[in-house]
Formats: sequence, structure tokens, C-alpha cells
Amino acid sequence: MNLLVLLTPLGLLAMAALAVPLLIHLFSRSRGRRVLVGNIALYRQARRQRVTEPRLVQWLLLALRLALLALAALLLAGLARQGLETLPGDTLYVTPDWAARAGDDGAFVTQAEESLAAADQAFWLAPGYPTFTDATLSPNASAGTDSWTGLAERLATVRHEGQVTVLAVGDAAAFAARAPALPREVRWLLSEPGPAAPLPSIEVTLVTTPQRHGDAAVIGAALQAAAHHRALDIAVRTATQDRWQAIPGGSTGQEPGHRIRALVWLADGDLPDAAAMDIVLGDSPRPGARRTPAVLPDYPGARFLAAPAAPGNGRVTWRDDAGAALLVRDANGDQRRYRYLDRLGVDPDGLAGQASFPDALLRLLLGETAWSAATAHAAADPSFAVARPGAAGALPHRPLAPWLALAMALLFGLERWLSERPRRGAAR
Amino acid sequence: MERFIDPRTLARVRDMPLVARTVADGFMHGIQPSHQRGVGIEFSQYRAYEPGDDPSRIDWKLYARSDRYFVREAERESEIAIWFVFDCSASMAQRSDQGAWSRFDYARHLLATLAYLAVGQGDLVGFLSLSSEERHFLPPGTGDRQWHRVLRELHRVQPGGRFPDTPQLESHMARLQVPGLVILVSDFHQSADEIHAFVRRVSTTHNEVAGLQLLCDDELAFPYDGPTRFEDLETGETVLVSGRAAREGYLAAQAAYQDRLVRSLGLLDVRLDTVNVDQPMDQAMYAFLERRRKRLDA
Repeated sequence: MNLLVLLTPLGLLAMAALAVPLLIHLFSRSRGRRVLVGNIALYRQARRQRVTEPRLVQWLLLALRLALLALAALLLAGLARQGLETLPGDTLYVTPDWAARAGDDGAFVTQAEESLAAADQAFWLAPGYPTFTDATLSPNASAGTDSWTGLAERLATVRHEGQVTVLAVGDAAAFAARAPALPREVRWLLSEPGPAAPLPSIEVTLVTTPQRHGDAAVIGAALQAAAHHRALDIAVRTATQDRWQAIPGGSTGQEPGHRIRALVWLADGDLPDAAAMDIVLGDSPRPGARRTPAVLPDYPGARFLAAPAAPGNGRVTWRDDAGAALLVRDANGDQRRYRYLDRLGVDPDGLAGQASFPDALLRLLLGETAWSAATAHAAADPSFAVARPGAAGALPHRPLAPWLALAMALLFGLERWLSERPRRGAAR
Repeated sequence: MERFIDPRTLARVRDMPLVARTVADGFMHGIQPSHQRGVGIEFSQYRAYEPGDDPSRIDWKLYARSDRYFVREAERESEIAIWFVFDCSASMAQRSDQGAWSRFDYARHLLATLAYLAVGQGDLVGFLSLSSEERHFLPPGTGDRQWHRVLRELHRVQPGGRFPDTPQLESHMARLQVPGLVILVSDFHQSADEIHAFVRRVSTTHNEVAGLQLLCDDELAFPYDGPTRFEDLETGETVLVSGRAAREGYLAAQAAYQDRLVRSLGLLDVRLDTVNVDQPMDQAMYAFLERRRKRLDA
């Protein structure tokens, strides 16, 4: 079913112009051309049909003019047809890359079966879009095709009524880097198979003052939840400002690369020089400062890419929407030291109040290497479902402007012909 | 006689006598016999005395000067009077959309021409213009001066009102009923029966009436297509019709009207000649006079 949509519904206001010919028609009905004659009796006898034809033509002309204006209004309103065909229900797309890499991996088969069961229909994301029926993973399309372009084309031409899920290969960051806007929201199920890297563990020490116990609790809980999603070993400890150094180190016996110690400084004063820590993160709440709404977009968003260093002021890692620095990295040898220029913790208005902030924070604490290892488990993790919102108004559609213009031209020609006709006849 | 004067050209000439002469002379050329000469009032020429001539006609003063006998010749006075009756009702003002002149203007020039011809033949010419608003009467006379009097009358009249009812014309009727020819120039559009009544009254056994009906192209062809509002020149009544749909009805009504008119006038022994004012005037006149000549010969 091809539904018609209006891309600019406000353009329908132009329909008000319909009143103009209507009023003209009602208020100045043509009385006909005036001809002076000598013997009216002859004309009186001939007037049996005097009213019908002029009226009929007038009404026809009125209808034509109204239609003309209505078409113009629809043109302004951007009348368009929705996609060529419609797929009801949820749809699953499987990229050949995904199938090629899956091999006999049981986890992949399970994922495919689950996704297939959840969807109403499944297709290969390959030229022709053949139906994907079997989860035994026998790719009938060659791997290596550009799935993204295929998906964009598919979404632009077919109207999907339900959710669209894509089984694809790659890690989230890779997709984020090359992701153009798709015409609609898509749920990505990403997986990056490969050699199973040892999972890192992380040990977070939260140093807080009594006033900021709440913040520490929120941050700790968020980090634990985010890490558990990725089956990461996490230990969160909380200490007061004067006693944090007495806390004994975590368990030993793991290689340094797989154990990350993080100090989150929610206390007063400058960041301490904690040499034993891999990363030190502090915040500087600015209660009075005016806030620019910072949006943490769909994870992983481009805003988390490192920004160029600002001279003399450390390296700005995160920025908010207005371009102001949110996270600044201080240069200090191997140790990563960050200052978050807002409040970490209970902050409903700020970045930290957003749902995906824990992931971003965890990624920051882990570092990119450990994060990559952690995302290898993404396949089974529902939080890796990437849903990119579509560009506004870019629903799949075919614009009807040329057809509308053609119809208008035809109507205009007809209208001219009809309205000029009496004058031509009389001029004979 | 193949080439006639284009009505547009003629209409551009504002000089009525010139138009009349142009048309009449062109028309006369070759077909009109010379003037009959004889006893009369208007001097025409001298000729040498021949045996058999009345000696009383010898001009003795000329004999004194030239010592030869000459006889005065005068144009013979016509026995009949020609009355030009001009219908000046408002309906005469109708004209075609693309026409050169209105029925009224055409009629004026036609009358001027006919009067010129008549005067040239030495006929007695009288003139009567008729409308319910004003009437102009010119007693019969002969000669160029009479023609100029007719021209003056033609310049004075304006179309307006309706064709007058017969009772209004009683004072003129008696004068029209002398032996002669009455040429009625009109469109023969009447609201009741007034033209018929007039013709009936004028047409007597020793008096011939000829009708010249002037119609224009638009009346004959009905070239209207769209919605058209017709307004009567005399009554102001309007009728809104669709041109295309009404054409057939109009043409039928027009033909029926014409047929009725010809028959009713025929009963009165009045021959009706229809002239299209958008056609060349000399052509119409030639046809009119030719028909008259044939009728008189027959």
C-alpha cells in the first residue's frame, strides 16, 4: 500500500488561497458579453437553453481553478509517496560479513536463531536482498559488500513498519566513525569476533567527602552495572578524603595490562599525585555556572572522539554541544589524568544524568585497548544494540513534485482554453 | 460592375454627397440611359429648330443675337413622385461587431445615393423620416437643390424611439398617398404591428411601396459563442443566452420572422428587398434597381 505523506504540512495553509476564485465566482458572476440588438423578440425565442451552458462552463472553470490552487498547495506541502513497498512487522537483515565470520561459532548460531525468531522476516543485506531463512549460516552472497550502502538504499525504498535489526560485524566505534544518517532508526547487533582477548578487570576507588556520598554511590552503581553488562570484573571501593590511601591494593597476580586501577576524586582540592593509579579522574562541579545542555548521543557517538589539544590547558577529550570543554586530560607521564568540568554524580540536567553516561565513563576508565577487548562480548549484550535515529523527515518516499507540476500545467492549459473560448468565438 | 466599393472605404468618407455621387456615378456608368429632355421648368440645353417643333418654343432672344432658330429644351418633369421614408427608430442603430457602419449610417448614405439618382432622373423627390420622437417632412421637389435639402434632412436626423404608430402619422399620410413610389428604408423590426399598419395605410392602388430591409452580418449569422447578453435598443430588455446553444433557435426564429414578413408584405403587394449593410453598397443598389427594372419590364 502506497501511502501519501506531506513533507511540509504547513504548506497546506496555502489551501486558503482556494477562497479567492470561490469568492470571485460568487460575487462577480459573468453576465455575458453585451450586444445591442434591434429585435429582442428573436433572441427571446432562442433562449431556451440560455442558462445551462454558461453556468456549466463557469462551474467547470471554477473547479479547474480550485484544483489548480489545491495542487499548488500540495506542491508547497511536499506531497510524496511513501516507499515503493511496505514490509509489515519487524525485519531482520544479516550482512554477509557477519555470516562469513560466524563460521561454526555456536554463539553466532544462537544469536541468529534468536534474532530470526524475534523478527517477522529476514533478508540478506546483499544485492537483491534474498530471504534469509536458515540460521545454519550458509552465505549465498559474497562477503565484503558494502552493507551500509545497501541498507541505506533499502531503507530509502522500502517502508518498514516494525523494527529493523541488522546483524553486522564490527565494533561500535568502527560503525560510529563511518555512520551516515540512515532514513530511519535501526537496531544494530554488532559482533567483533576474533581471538578471545583476556578480559580486563578494573578497580575503582571513589574518594569522597560526606557531602558527596550520594554522588559516589551513583557513580559506583553505574560503573558496576555497565561493567557487569560486559562481564567485566569490577571492584568499587569508597573512601573518605583522609583515609583513601590506607585502602589496600586489590588482588594481585594479574598482569598489569589487565588490571586497571582508577581513582575517581570527588573530594575537595586538586587531584592527588597517586602514582599507583593508572587513571585519575576528578570533577569540578560548577553549581552556579550556566549550563549548556550536553547531549550524550546514541552510544558510541562522535562527540567522544578526542578533540585537538587546547594550548596550555591540557587536552580536551569531550565537548558539549556548544563546543565547550567537558573533559580535559592533563599531561602527566603514563598516568592518565582527567578533569571533568562538571559534576560527576547526581546530575539530572548534565551529561552525567544521561542513560548512556555510565558506558562512556567506563570506556574512559578502561582506556581504548581494554574497551576493545570488552566489546568483543558485544554480540550477546543487548546494550550494544545501536539505534541511530533517522534524519528528520527523511522517511522513505518518492517525491511527487514533477507529477504535480505536470498536472498543474495540464489543468492550466485546460483552464486557459475554456476561459478563452467564448472570446475567440465572438471575435469571429 | 464586378468591382464594388468596400463598405469600410465608403464609411471612412465622411462626406455624404461625395459618397452618394461616387456610388451613383459608378453605378450609372454604362447602364443608365441619358436624361429625357423636353418641356419643363428646369433648363437643360438649346438645340436647332427642326420642322415640326412648336414655334412657340423658339427662343427669340437668341434668334436676335445669332440669327438662327433655337429651341429651349428643359428636362422633362417626372410624372411620379418618389417618397423616401426613413425609419429612424433606435433599432436602426444596430451594427455588426466588426462592421464598418451601423444600419442607420448605411441607410443615410443609401438614401442620399438613391435621392441623387432620382433627382438626376428628374423625378419629384420627397423625404419623410419617422420615429416616435421626431419626424421630418420634406415636400416633393426636383433638382439639385432638392437633393441638397434631402441631404440636410439626412444630416439632421438621429436614431431614437420606436417606429411611430399610424395615428401619429395621419397628417403625413394624405401626402404620401399621391401617385408615385414610396421607398421605405427600415430594418422592419416592429414591436407590435406598426410598420405593417403604416405600409397598409400607404399602399394604395395607384401608389407603389418598395421595402428596403437593412440587416447586418451579426443579425444574419449569429456569430456568438459564449454567454451573451442581448439588449434591445428600443425597449432596453435584456436576454442572456448561451451563444452556441441559442444559434439554431435564433436562426430558426429569424428565418420564420423573415418569412412571415415577406409574405405579409406580399399580400399588400409590397416587394421587400433585403440588404446586408456589411456588403458593398453599390452592389446592393445595383441588385435593388436591377430587380425593380425587371419587375417593371415584366
